[in-house]
Amino acid sequence: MSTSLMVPALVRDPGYKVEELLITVIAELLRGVKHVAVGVSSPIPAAAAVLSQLLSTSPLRVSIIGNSSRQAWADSGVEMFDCAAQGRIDAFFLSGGQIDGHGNVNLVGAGEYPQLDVRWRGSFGSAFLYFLVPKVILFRKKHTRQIFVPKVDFVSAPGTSRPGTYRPGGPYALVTNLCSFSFRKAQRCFRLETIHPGHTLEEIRDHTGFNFEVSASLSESKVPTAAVLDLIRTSVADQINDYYPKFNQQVLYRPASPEQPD
Amino acid sequence: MGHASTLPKTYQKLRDETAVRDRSLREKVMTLEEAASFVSDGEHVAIGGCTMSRTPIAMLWALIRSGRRKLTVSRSIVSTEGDLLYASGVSDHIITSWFSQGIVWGISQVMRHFTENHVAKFEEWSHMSMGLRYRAGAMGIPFMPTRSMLGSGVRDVVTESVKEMICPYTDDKLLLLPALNPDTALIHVQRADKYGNAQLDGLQFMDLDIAMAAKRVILTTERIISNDQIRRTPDQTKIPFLTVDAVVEAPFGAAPHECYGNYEPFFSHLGAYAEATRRDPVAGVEEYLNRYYREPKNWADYLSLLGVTELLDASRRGRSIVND
Repeated sequence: MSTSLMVPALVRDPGYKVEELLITVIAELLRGVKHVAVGVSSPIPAAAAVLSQLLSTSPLRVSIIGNSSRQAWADSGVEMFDCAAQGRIDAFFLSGGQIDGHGNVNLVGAGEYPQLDVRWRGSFGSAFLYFLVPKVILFRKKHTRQIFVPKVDFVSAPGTSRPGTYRPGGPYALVTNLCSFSFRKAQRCFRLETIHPGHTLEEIRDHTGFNFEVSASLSESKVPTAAVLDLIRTSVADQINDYYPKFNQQVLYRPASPEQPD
Repeated sequence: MGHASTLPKTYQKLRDETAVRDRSLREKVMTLEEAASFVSDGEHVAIGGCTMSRTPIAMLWALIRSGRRKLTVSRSIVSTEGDLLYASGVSDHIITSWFSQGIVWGISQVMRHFTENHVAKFEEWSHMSMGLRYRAGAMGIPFMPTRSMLGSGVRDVVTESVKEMICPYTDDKLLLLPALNPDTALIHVQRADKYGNAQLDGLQFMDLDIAMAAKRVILTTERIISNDQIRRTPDQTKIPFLTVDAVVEAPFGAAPHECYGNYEPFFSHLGAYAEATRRDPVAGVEEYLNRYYREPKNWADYLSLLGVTELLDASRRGRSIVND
């Protein structure tokens, strides 16, 4: 691609890792939220939720689902789904094997159902939370045309619903390795809001299979300041270490406890 | 041999099936092999626990060894036991909301092989739907109204099994989930008495509803305790004896999965399994079945194959939750 030739900044060490940038970007999206829940296998969203809590001037509750001795309340996940249905959770994270331009998420497989070419693990409770949590942030680090398709092969959880459907929740943003989109509910499409440093609009178009709007105020994603980086590598890492020791060891510079496999 | 229907039965049929059950307080302690004979080919068997938690591995081990065929199997979330049920031919139809070894190991290549080649069926319902179907079964009602799955493609692929209605109070569209009443439930617990009063620690998942919804329950337990001890803390009894038909003492009965407070997953063993099945799903799982399921003389022999080192490590991690 020609873009990489135009961006010599790529080869310079920016002083932060891409994960730390994504944590900062997502933390920003959680501004004003009162309760964010984070699902399993989501170290970056979990770190972002904790960072947002530390930076927030108003109280923000963070619920991280996973193995932890520090949980005060656990009921096989029933607690989280009931809270979501009642409006006690404001933000959550989803991902997908495929995500299309209308915010539809596919966790079932690629190809035509039931003759699927690839079978994925299943939808679990994705649609439930997509319908009921007001700000669902779609997060997928890898940004390719195989993932961001014009139309998902299977709708595990739809981005929008017909008028009259009881649906207080839905997609709020989509964050990837390259950029951050907002979701425009009325237009049923994503709008590119910020591009991560070192990447270009052209590169994003090259790697995205669906059409998207571009914000009139398109800007570069806010990078973590030295103070925020320090926070991520200390307090944030501390708070997620119970859940993600390996991620800390590999990314946030935390030594892993030798007794705890991840 | 056809598959069990998982559609709801009439109230009267359900009541009749429950009414004929023996409710006496009788000893039900038996061996894995004896308990396995309670399950017939083609039945609907529900599995307790969730993913790697309290999976009744010992009982599934006995079922695989007994050569049961064509079971319809349901569970909240299915992990490695689903691979083994498919590969052994014990089940070619699994009903669940999520199916893979566990988040850290990626997608199950065995599940992919069997479903993508259409050798076996992975019937997907949402997780909430699974729970509500067992709940309806436990309550003795034919369906549970919900909004779960409406708007999702998952609803459309089970369209022959669900109906919709307009809520008479709010005018909202509702989905009516059919009750799920398994023929047999397999549930592993930390302790139970010889009559089948079971106490569980840690998360209960869908187990209480599964036990109530099933026509018969086979309990495996880490240890059998006295009825006196059960009666000292009856509030901790989560599965009552009158639902239970067999009690099998199976120490490390969920290994290499976990049993809260006793042992954590056997990570090296599970890592090696994931690696072998990633290299070659068919040969990998076949080799595993031969080595760990078909060749061992008995359950103790199986445990010694897992190895004392792993067993101690898993126990130490499992018990560490009460160390501080």
